[in-house]
Amino acid sequence: MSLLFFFLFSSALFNYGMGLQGFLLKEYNLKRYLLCFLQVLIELFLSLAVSWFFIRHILLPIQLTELFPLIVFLVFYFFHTLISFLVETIDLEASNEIFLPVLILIMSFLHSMNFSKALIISLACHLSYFLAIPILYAIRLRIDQAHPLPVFKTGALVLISLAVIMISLYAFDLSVFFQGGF
Amino acid sequence: MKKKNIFFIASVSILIPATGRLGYGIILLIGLISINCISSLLYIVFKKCDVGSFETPLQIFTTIAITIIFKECVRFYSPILSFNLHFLFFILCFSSFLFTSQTKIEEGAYVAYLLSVLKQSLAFSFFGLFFFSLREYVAYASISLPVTQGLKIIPISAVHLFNGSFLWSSTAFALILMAIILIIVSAFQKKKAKG
Repeated sequence: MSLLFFFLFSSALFNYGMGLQGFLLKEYNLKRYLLCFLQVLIELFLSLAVSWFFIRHILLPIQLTELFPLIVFLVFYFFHTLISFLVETIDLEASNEIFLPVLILIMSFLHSMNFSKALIISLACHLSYFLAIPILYAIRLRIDQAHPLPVFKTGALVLISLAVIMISLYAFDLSVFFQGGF
Repeated sequence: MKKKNIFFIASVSILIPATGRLGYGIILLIGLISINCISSLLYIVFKKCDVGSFETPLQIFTTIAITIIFKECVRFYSPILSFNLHFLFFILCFSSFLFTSQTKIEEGAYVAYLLSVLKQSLAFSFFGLFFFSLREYVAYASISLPVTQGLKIIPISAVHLFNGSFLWSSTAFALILMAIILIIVSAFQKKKAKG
């Protein structure tokens, strides 16, 4: 249930707007997309397990849990470099994409009470992000093919389309009958 | 659209996910300017030390560290504000990293780089203030300021159309508001270019 909730209805993209700028500017390539999906998935799982261990057994006893984002980043970067040495991977640093998995990890640590929940949240965020890439790319292509007015070529139509998707998923929360929601 | 406009990228990465209150927005924008200034200074130090391929990870690491310090400062000022902003501090960190990494640094022109980052941050902050004020007015018909007890909310008389439009405080409607602003700005630019 948590997986479904974080995957679709309250995904990291729609709830926190994480990686929105990437969607609006990124070019889509199937091979790169699949490689990136696998690479980030492996890196996420490895770094989540190791950083959980560090936080639980080192930072927590000395009461320095506020520093956990630094540990998360260091562990993630270590695995990213290690995997890059072993196999040919996508350079996440060049396109500033390296920050997104780190944000996913930080969010899963902030929102979870135990390791399994952190794992579910990070997996759901990762899946939701990669589910949205082809959808938003298709929308961008359709908008380009429709030859919109020059005023609308600034990305306004993409933003509105994204908002419509968000509203359709948030329909219950945004309903005027439930004003206590906000 | 294809041209990577830093204003657009930063707007989408920080203004959209942020809450609809100006009070929180002010804290975030102060954070953005201070983190940008300190991290760009450190970026120059890394350039001078010639850290090679470790430049980007070091930059991210220091940006996260500065964000943690800023978060603690906000917590010292008002624990409620810090608690409510919570994860947004790290999105702010990401936004700040985009600002400093997108602005290209030239050999020797460090002052120009610093001034350019500061100028962009200030310009973006003014736009951010306008966006947050508009969003709060449209959503709640009020203006809020950050105080130690949380937020001081000043109600403003609302136009009838805006009453109860709490929907504008959501991420989706923030995107629509941003799209409207983009259309208006683009229309003005087109008109100006024509004559």
